[in-house]
Formats: sequence, structure tokens, C-alpha cells
Amino acid sequence: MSLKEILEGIVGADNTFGDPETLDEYSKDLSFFPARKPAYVVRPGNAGEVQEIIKLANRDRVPLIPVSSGPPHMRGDTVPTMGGVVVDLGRMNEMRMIDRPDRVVMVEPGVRFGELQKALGKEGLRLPMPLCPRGTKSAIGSCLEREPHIIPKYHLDVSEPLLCTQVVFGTGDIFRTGEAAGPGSIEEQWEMGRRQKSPMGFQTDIYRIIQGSQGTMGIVTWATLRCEVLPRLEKPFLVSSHRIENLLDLAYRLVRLKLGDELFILNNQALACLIGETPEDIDRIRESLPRWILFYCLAGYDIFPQEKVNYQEKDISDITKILGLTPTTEAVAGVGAEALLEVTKRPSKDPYWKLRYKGGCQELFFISSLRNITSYIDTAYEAAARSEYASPVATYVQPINQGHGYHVEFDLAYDPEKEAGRRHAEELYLCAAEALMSKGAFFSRPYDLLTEMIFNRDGQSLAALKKVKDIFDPNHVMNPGKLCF
Amino acid sequence: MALADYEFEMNFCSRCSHCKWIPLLFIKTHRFANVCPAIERYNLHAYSGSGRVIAAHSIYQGRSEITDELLDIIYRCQLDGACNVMCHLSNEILEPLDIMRELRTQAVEEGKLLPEHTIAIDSLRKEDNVLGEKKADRGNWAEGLDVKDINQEQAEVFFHAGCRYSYNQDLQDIVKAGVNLLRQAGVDIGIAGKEEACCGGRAFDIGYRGEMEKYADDFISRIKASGATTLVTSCSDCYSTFKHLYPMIDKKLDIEILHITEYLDQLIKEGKIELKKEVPLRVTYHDPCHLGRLGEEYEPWSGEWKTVHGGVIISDPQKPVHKGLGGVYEPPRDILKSIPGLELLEMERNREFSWCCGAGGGVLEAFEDFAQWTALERIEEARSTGAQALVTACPWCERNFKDTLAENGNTIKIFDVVELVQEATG
Amino acid sequence: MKLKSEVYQMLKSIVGDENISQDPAVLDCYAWQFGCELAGPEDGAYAAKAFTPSDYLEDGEEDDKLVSPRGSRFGIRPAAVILPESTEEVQTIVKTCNRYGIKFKAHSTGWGPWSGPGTMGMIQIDLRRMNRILEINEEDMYAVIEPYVVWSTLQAETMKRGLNCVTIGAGGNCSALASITSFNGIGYNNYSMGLNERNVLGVEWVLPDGEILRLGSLGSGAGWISGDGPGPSLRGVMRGEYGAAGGLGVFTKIAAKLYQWGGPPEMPVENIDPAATLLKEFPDNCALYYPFFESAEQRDKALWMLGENQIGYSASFMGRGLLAWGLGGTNREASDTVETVAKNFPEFAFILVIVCNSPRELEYQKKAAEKIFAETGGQNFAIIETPEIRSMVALLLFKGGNKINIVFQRSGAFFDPGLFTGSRRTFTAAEKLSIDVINKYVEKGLVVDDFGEGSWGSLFDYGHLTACENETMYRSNDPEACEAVLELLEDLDGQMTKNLYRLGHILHQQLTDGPKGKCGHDTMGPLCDNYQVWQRKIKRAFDPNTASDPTMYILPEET
Repeated sequence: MSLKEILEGIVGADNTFGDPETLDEYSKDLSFFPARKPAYVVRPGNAGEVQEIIKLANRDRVPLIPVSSGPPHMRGDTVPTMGGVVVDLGRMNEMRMIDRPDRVVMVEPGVRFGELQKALGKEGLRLPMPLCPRGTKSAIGSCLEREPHIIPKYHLDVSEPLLCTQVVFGTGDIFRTGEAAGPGSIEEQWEMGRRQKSPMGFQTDIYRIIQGSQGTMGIVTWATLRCEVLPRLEKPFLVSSHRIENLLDLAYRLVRLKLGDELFILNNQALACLIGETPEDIDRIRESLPRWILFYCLAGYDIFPQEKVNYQEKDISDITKILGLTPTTEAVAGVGAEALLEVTKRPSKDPYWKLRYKGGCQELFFISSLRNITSYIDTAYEAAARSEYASPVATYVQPINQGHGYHVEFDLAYDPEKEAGRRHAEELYLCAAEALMSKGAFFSRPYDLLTEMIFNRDGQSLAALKKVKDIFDPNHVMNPGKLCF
Repeated sequence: MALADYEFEMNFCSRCSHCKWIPLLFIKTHRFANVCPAIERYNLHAYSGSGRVIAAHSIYQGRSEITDELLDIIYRCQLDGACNVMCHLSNEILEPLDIMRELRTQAVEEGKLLPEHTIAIDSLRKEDNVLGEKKADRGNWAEGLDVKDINQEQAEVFFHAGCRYSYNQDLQDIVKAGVNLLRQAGVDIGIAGKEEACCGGRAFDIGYRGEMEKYADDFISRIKASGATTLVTSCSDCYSTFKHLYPMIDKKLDIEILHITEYLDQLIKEGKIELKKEVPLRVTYHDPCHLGRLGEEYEPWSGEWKTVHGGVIISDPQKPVHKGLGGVYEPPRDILKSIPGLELLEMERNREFSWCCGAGGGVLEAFEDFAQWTALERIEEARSTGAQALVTACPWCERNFKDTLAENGNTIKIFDVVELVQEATG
Repeated sequence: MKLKSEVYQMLKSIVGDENISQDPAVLDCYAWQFGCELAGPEDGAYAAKAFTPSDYLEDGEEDDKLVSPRGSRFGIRPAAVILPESTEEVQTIVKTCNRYGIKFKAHSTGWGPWSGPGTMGMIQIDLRRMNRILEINEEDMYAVIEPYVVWSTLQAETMKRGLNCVTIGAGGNCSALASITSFNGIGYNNYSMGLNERNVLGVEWVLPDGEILRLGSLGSGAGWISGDGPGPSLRGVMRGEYGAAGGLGVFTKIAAKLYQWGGPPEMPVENIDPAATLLKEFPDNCALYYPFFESAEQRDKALWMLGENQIGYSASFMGRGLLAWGLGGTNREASDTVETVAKNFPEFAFILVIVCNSPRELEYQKKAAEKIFAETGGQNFAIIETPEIRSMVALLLFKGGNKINIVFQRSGAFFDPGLFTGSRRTFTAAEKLSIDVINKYVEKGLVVDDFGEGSWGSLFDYGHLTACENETMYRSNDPEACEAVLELLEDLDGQMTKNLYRLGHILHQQLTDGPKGKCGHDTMGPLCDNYQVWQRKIKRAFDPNTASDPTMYILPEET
């Protein structure tokens, strides 16, 4: 039997694609990673089919590239570096369980943020979400990438909000991580009141190995995610400054004192992209905005919501007075706090906000300590100034891990149709990354062209990861060519 | 007494390591959280209170024997009692200090002796002191004092100088000052002079149990003959021997026993000593182990252990648990606080969990390096308070601090409480 | 078992004369651990399986004398003990062990049967000399520490700076690094600060083969800020709910997460006697509640309402039996009053500590808590207002355990059957099961009568999870009691498994399966998607010579 026939035998002919248009679509993304066509794209419907595909891959040494989100992809992780078969999990889009008392949801990889938040909202729950993910972004996909969400006080660990998973390893073995592993089937566990809340294994945390692996260890077929209750009352604020240091000071205090829910810092370009709808809109908004804006939202829950908001507001006022800052609930240069809050509650409208300015965007992100953020921003901006890259650099700073670190992100917009613009963006991307790395910025999520540079800095981790890879995917069928494998 | 007498107790170390720290709720800094000099210096668990109990148990069960290495470990310990107090805060069954002493007694019985200790014991046996000095010279410190000779006439207060004060000339001003202060306050005081003998405490501590028994008997008869109602001493080691060790061997002295600081404190509060002169000095007070936690009166116990409620172990009758609470802590402090111009600063490790000066348990005699290391730790702690002077109430502490400073740089002054009182009386 | 002279000399050359010993009595200080009394000579099959001979080990003359009966705390004697001072020394020791086929077991404060050697001929690496707090970073809220920094001193230093850490229930005398990397990490303050599984950033780790792995940003020369990446997080190899308990090499430095502390920089106390220790001043910005309820359901409702509204700093509970045995100074005093005291404590209760950063926040949290109690029928137990109890509870919850030792004082030892991590619906059912099963053994007179209510537990992450264990006390030098405890472990943990609660303490399984020569994972694994297969592969990959004590982690071969 040919590979195609075998695949069709597993997932059905309707879910097996070999036509040039489909293959072309999956051969590339918006990153600078070189394109490569897969042999086929398959869309399995359940874990059993996924397992069969992986067993086949092992038998016949076929590379597999798992994809859970829809396009446009931007980080190179879904490009079939060595050809093979793309396993698109979009069909597996069931929400298997939502439990209000236990504040948890079990979803399949094809479930996206928009529909998930809607379903959770009906139960009085929400999933802390990254900053306006694209509409086609898979919730599981985002969690597996360790994308930080925007509510630092709920970001208990960089793994949040991921809890348990069911994963098919590169060996073809199905495994449930954390307490989901047993005893009992999932249904039996539900029967006696368990909800797959504890992500921890006994003496290993396999979920941490799956996260950040870009599908190189296995394919996740469902996951439980930690939810929180919906606020009864929300009061968003904007604070602006021409110096990010002032806002970082405030952010640090708010996160440390667990004041506020959503909290993040954007520069004028990033905020303009988030709010504006066209490039002209974005230019106009950017030019009217102050250089830096911090957004935070106070929330009250079931018990005395107004009073909870009130005391936080007053406590924050004491802080901002000392810092010489003036939070406002009104608009800043036409950008309203309420409007921004609404934007953050949903995935991005199309086009994806990062792509609105020029159509293409290269993200450059890393983890920083508080004190180094300003210097990293300076480094990136200096690199931009020295380069031929001509667009404003959108900048986003997100406190993570309850204030134990910050996600710092530069979004380099460029027109993918213009070769020069693309080249300049790529050059700046590499040059800025190198400069930042040499200054101690930690690139914890290695994507596309930066991967080698990142792993070259840490030979021991590389060696250890290879051992881990050889355990979970000894034949190296899972997304070969990614990370250090 | 032997290790066999602690066969039951030795089962109950849980290896919690509380014996290494001051009481956890009292910890203020990482730097000064440790309470045991031996484990702090040498780090192997065998050096801790727990380790010593386990080692004793191991030997008792025949799993090991006292090797040269273990002998060294057994004696690199000031027997300062800190581990005992810390253990007793949450363990009423175990008796680390008693067991540690038993191990030393067993070592001596097995003929495993440290030469330096042998010298001290020889001196004791020949000259009634542990310092290698002549008995005939013992009373010299009191020359010119014109104090009653208690061997000849009775007095209300039997004053005991102790070996260190009797023979260390550079410390003698302190003991003389003490006697003078008492006399000036109208106290009827007598001393034994050259007839005074060692209390025997050091001998007991290093495993020569029988020696102390002899001296205890001697004291009992002297005190009876003296007609005194109060025994006062300036030496904390002796104080502890009288109050803590003699009752342990069933030789409790039938007399009120006071350290000179207790007595001076009373006299000051009664107005019989007036502190008129300013002594502008920032000081910190070092609680001598033997005045503090080991100055607590020992209550012997003989009873049995019973199990109730399915496993809880109770003593019948209730065994007293020595936590050092009955030691002398406040009188020296009250004295210092009443000296005009003096500012008293506390070290972090104080009272029941004071850090040892380093001298006791035979360490000064046999392991000078360790004694000095321990003293340096304390000196650093004293200096960290901002104090100009470290004040204490024991000649062994003073000896060790002074000698350590002489060899390592005189970074802080050392005073006895009595010296400052004398200064303040003008 | 002894090391051959050339190996011993080699090790001595690494650390110097003073920092190594093979004196029998000195070694016995490492053989001795609570919990070892549960095993007798008939239980040596597991240790025997874990043992691998080496040309550099020789029999000791008196090895046969060293086998201890049940009821004795002498476990397996190491072949030597060594105290390194630096990561480099640790690395050299580990490489030496690999070269000579000798196993090693590292411990820091070393308290419990998982700390000592798991099989014969093993070297104990005592990390006591590595005891520095290297950095307290207030901005990013972490402390870089070495293995022998204990919770009490770390907390004393961090509280001064308005920061705090999870001081575990086992006590402030325990190593912070060991809890975070290698063991568990349940404490009274998990409610707001999480289980220690998540309280780590960068890690410096000497792997079992002697290579040094630095997790996260540390490995990339980017400081301590992150323990994850690049790519997959190797924290997943380091530990799960439990760490490897010495089975995956030696951890030499970590950045431990710290959290905001709104209380005072110091909390002065008076009177060292724990029965009388008093907080000199109850801190501003803090409040303490001891609500009790008509039913477990009402209690649980209140707990989870508090969690959802993020009210509180610590939410924990203690069984009436444990409380009653914990009060009272001497064992006799406690024995005389335990029944009366226990009866006077409410059955369905918990303790809530509130620590806030401002008077306004305090006012809100108190009001919110009181509303929740009103809605769920919670009444405040008046005893919490008595200065002594208030002080004792406040100290226990603010500053972590020093009271744990009471369970050793009463009977010599405790163990913790029924330890498990659960969530909202499973906790109460597991609690009830525990009471029923433990009382069976109480009735036989084999364990201390705590009415089956000897549990304590803590909510994590504002009520998302909860952990609970029973502090079952037993007479440690009584072989019959020891045997009963093992039976109880097997019974209760077995029933929890059968009822499909989360399986508990992996180390319990080792204790009950060990005598059969079985690795606990080979019993539990088949019930849990055969996780042992993967864990075993990790062990083999990272410890090809099985140099790092496998006994509390996983044996490299199936049993």
C-alpha cells in the first residue's frame, strides 16, 4: 500500500490531503523559515487515529508535523522542515468537560479561544488568555507553547494554565499526564469526583517536557486547563508615560501586591495595532498616543465586588501618587480603557492585530528580569536604528509567573510582498536577537532561525534534551529539524 | 551510671536536627541561627547532639567502638548544653547531655584518654585544681583583702572563688572586686583561701565522674562546718556544678546557692549598693552556659516509662524536663541596665540559646583551636550589635575571649559584670 | 561494606581529611533515621535488588552485626560520608563514584528514611557545608540558595525585605532546596504561594553521571530568572509531585521563588518553651479565623468560596485528634486532657489566616470572609481569641512548622497514611475513609488514639487543589506497632486506590512493596498508564551507571 492509502485507511479519504494547494498552504508560514512541502496533510478525528499515524511513522520513518491552530502561523514550528506528513488536529475540537466548582475545562486541540471563552462564560468561568491571540489559535496549542497570559496573579507558573494532558508519544504510546494517568479511566475518575486538576506526575512532570517541545515529543489529544471565575465587576485603567521605567515600577508593585487582574504594558505602536483597523488608523493612533501605556483592570468577584474594586483603586492611588503617575478610566488619546478591556477578552479580529500594519510580522520575544527590561529595549531599538528596518517596533511587556520574570516582545512588522522589507526585518531579527542574547536575555522558546543560536548557548541542556527526545521519540519522527533534534 | 541506663531514651532521637539551631521562631538572621559550635565547625552529623546520641547508641549496641577518630569527636564539644535545651523543647524523653557525658565516662573507663585531660586530672588529684598550679598558692588572690577565713570562723556567706579566679592573675581583680562589693554592702563573707578546692565540675564533664564525687563530699562537709546560709561564687562553672551537677550525683548542697550577679542584683535593688557614676559604654552581654541553661537546678528523676493511648509514652512520675528556663539570665542584665550611661544591646543568641564562649567541657584544655574558633564566632556576633564591649560573668568565658582576642586582634573589650559595677560605684 | 582504600583516598583528596569519614560510629549517624524502624532484616529484599557489586567495595568484618530489627532506627550504614563545599567538589565526587562503580546518596538536612543510603556500599554526600544564601532579589522575588539553607533562616532574611516563602509543614529546620528540588513541599501557606513543585526558577544540578546541568536561563548564561527551556522544560525531569529523593544526582543551587509578605519584618516571640511561646504582638494587617460548620459540605463550600474570591493567605485544617495531641506540654498533660480537648474542638473546621498589604485590603478581606462564613453557617471558634492559642496558631501558620516535632515527642514517631493530593470533590470522601480505616488500628491499640482524626492539610493555589495527610503516631521502638503502621499504609493507601482517589505518597509504596523486593512504581505504574516505563527510561538515560541512589526514585530494572 502507498503511504496515501495507509493514511486514508486511518483517517479516511476526506481527511487526507495531497493536492498542491493544500500542500503549499502547509509548506510555509509567515516566519523566515524556509518553506518545505509536506507529502500529505491528514486530519485525524480521535486519539486512536493519531496513535495509528504515529505507529505508521515509526514503521516507515515518516516525519510528522503536528498542527493544532489554524493559519496564519508565524513561528516556523509547523513548517515541515524535512517533509513528511502534517497532522492537523483541527477536527478534534470537542469540549469534553467544563466543571464550574472545580474551575476546569477539558478540551481537544482544535478548540479555539473564542468558542472556549463563550462556553466557559456560560458557566461563570474564563480561561486567562494571552494578549489577543489570533482567531484560529488553538487553546491547547497556546498552552503547549507556554504563551504567557495577561493576568499575572493567575500565572502561577510558566506552565499555566495547562494541567493534565493525554499525549501520544513519538513511540506511539498513549499516556495521560498528571493525575489523569490513573487510577481508572477518565470517566471513572469523573464518576468519583476527580477532574484531572493536578498536573503533577509522581516523580516526573511529563507535561513540562511536552510543553515547549513544538510537537517533537508527541501529540496532545486533549488537555485540562485551569480556569478562573468570571468577575462580577470590572474597572479598567490606563496609565501612560514617556518612560517605561515609570510604568515598570508600577507594574512591579501591582503584581507583587496582587492588585488588579489583567496587566500589561504596550508601546504606542503595539497598542495602535491592537486597536486600529487599518495601517493608516494605526499610524494615526500611534502618533497621538504617549510612548508607553500600562493597562490594568480591577475586578470584583462574588463577594462585595464593588468594595474589592474600591480598595484596590485606593491602594493603587497611594502608589501612583508616589510614582507621579495618573491612571485613568477614560481614554488616552482616544483609546478607551473599557474598549481595550473588551478587546482583550476575545481573540483578535481578522486580520490578526500583529499583521494589520504591514501584513507580516516577526515576533522576537524572550524572558527578562525586571531590571534589565529597559536595557533590552534600548538594545533592540538601537539595533533597529542601525538597521535598514524602517517601521516602528511594536513592544509588549508582560509580567509572568506572578512577577517572577517578564515576557518582553518586539513585533517587527513588514510587508511580506516586498522583498526588501522582508529582508530588513529578517536582518534586524537576527541582529537584535544576537545582541539581546549576549546581554543576557533568555530565549526560552526557540523558534525558526534563532533555534541554533539559542541552543548553542547551552550545550548541557541540549545534551539532556536529546536524551529526553530519545526516550519519547527514539526514531525521531516527531517534527524533525525543530529545536535541537 | 552507664549508657545502659539510657537504653530506652536512646531510641528516641528522630534526627530532626533542632539541636543545631536556636529555637526556630527566634531566628533573626541566617548568620546567627546556629547554636552548636561543634557541628557548626566540623559539620559531620556525629558532632551534633543528635549525632552524639546516635554514636552512643551505636557503641552501646556493639555496632561500633570508641576509635581515635570518635574519641576526638566526643571531646570536641563544650558540653554547653544548647543541644540539650533545643532537644527538650520538643522531646521530653531523650537526654542528649547526660548521654554525651556517659559516653565520656565510658571512654575514660576504657582507658581512652586525652593527654591534655590527663594532665588536668593529675593536677586536680595532686593540687586540687585543674590548672596545673600549686595548692599552696590558691589563696594568694585574697592577699590584702582581710576577709574572714571560713576554715577558722563562721560566716553567713561562704564565698567560693574557683580555680580560674584563684590562679589567673589578670582576672583576680574581678574576684577581689566582687568580694569587696559584697563586704561594702555589709555582707558577712568568708573564704576558704588556700584550703579551697576545685568544685570538680570540669573533671565530671570530661568523664572522671569519681573525682567530682570526692569534691562534692568535701564541699558538703565544709559548708556544714562554716555555718553559712548562702554559698556565693563568682565562677559560673562552679555555680553550675553546685546547682546542676551535684544534685545529679545525689550530692545536693544544703545551702542557698547564688552567683555573684544574683547577689549584687539583690543588693542593688535593696539600695545597699549605689551605682552613681556614669559608665558611658555600649555593651552586649554574653550568657555563660554554666550560669544560664546549665545553671538551672537539676531535678533528678527515677521512675518508669509507660505507654498509654495506644502508643504515647509518659513518665511516671513526671520527669522534669530541663529546658534551661531556670537559669540566671535577668539579674546580670538588670545590673547592667541600672548602670548609668550604659547601653545594653542584645545579641541574637541569648539566654537559653546563647552561643558558647568555647572554653567548657575540656575543650580549652585539649583543643585550643576549636575553643578560639568558637570564641571568634561569639566575638563577631557581639561586634555585629554595635557594642564596644562584651560583658560576661564567668572567668572561663573571659579567659577564652581575652586569649582569643590577643591572638586575633583586639577588636572589642571584655568586661565582667562585676567590673562594671565596681566602676559605677565610683 | 567498606570502600577499598584507593577510593577512599581519592575521595579524601577532594575534600580534605576533616570532611570525610568511614568511622563506624560516625557512619551510623547517617544510618539512623526515623522510619527505618518500620523495616526489619526480613525486609531487605529491595535493598538487595538495588545493590550492585563493585570491585572497589569489600565486605566489612562486622556487616552481619549491622542488620537491625524492626523497631530500631538504624538503617543501612553508608560506606563513607563526605562533605563537599562547592559544586566542583560535588561534581568530582560524583564522577569518582561513577568511575569506581560506587553509589551515592546526597542529603541536606537529612530527616527521614528517604535521606539515608538505600542500599549497601553507598556513599552519603552530606551537603551541610554548602549553606549560603547567595542572593535575595527583591525585584524578581527569588533567593539563590545552597542546599543547607533551611526554611527558618531563609524566611527570617526574606521577611525583613517584605517577602516570604513556603515554609513546609515538616518544619523550618528543613532544607529549602531539598524540598523544592527533591521532595514535596506541602506547607500551611500553599494556599497563596503554591506547592514547592512550582516554586523554583533556575537550578544548578550535578547529574548522576557528574555533568552539570543548569536549568533554564542559568544554562544560557542569563541568570536565575527562569527554570524552563530553552524548549521543553527539564524541570519535568527533575521532579513531579515528589522529587527524586536523591535518585537523580545532586542539586547544588537554586533560585527559590519568594512572594510578597504584608506582615512585619520580624515577629518577635517570647518564651522558648513551645507550650508557652507567645507572639509579642499580633501583626497589623493580619487576621485569624477558626470557623466551624455543621457539616463537611458547608465547610468545603466556605473553603472554595474563599479560594474563588482569593480571600486569605493560608487556609489549612487540622484533625481534632492532632490538635488535641498538639496542645498540652508534656506527654502526660496531653494524655490527661486529650479526650476532653478533642471533644471540645469542632469537627468540621479550618483555619484561615489573612495577611494583607494595606488596612483597606484587610478590611475588605475580613468583611468578605465573614460574609462567606455567614452564608455557609460558619461560626468562629472562640478559642482562637485566647492569646495563647491565637499566638500558637499564628506562629505555626505565618512562620511554618516547628510544632511537627510534637508528633515525635508523644510516641517517638509518626507516619502519614492516606497522604494524597486532591481537589474539591475528592478531599472530603478521602478524609472520611481515612478516619474509618485508621480507627480500626486505633481500636487494636497499635497506633496512638487520635480518634482517626489526626490529619492536617492545606489548600493550594486558592483552593484549586488540596493536600492532606494523617499524622498517625506510633510507638517507634515497638516492633508490633511498626508492623501495624505498615499494614495501615497498605490498607488505607490500597483503599484509596481502589476507590479511585488519587494515589498518595510514592514513598509509602516503596515501604510496603520493598519487603517483597518490589519497586513501588511497578505496583502503581500499571494503574497509571505505566508511567514507570518512562520514569525508568529517564533514570537509565541520566544515570547510566545507576550511581545515584535509585531506591527512593526507581530501580533501573523492572521488579
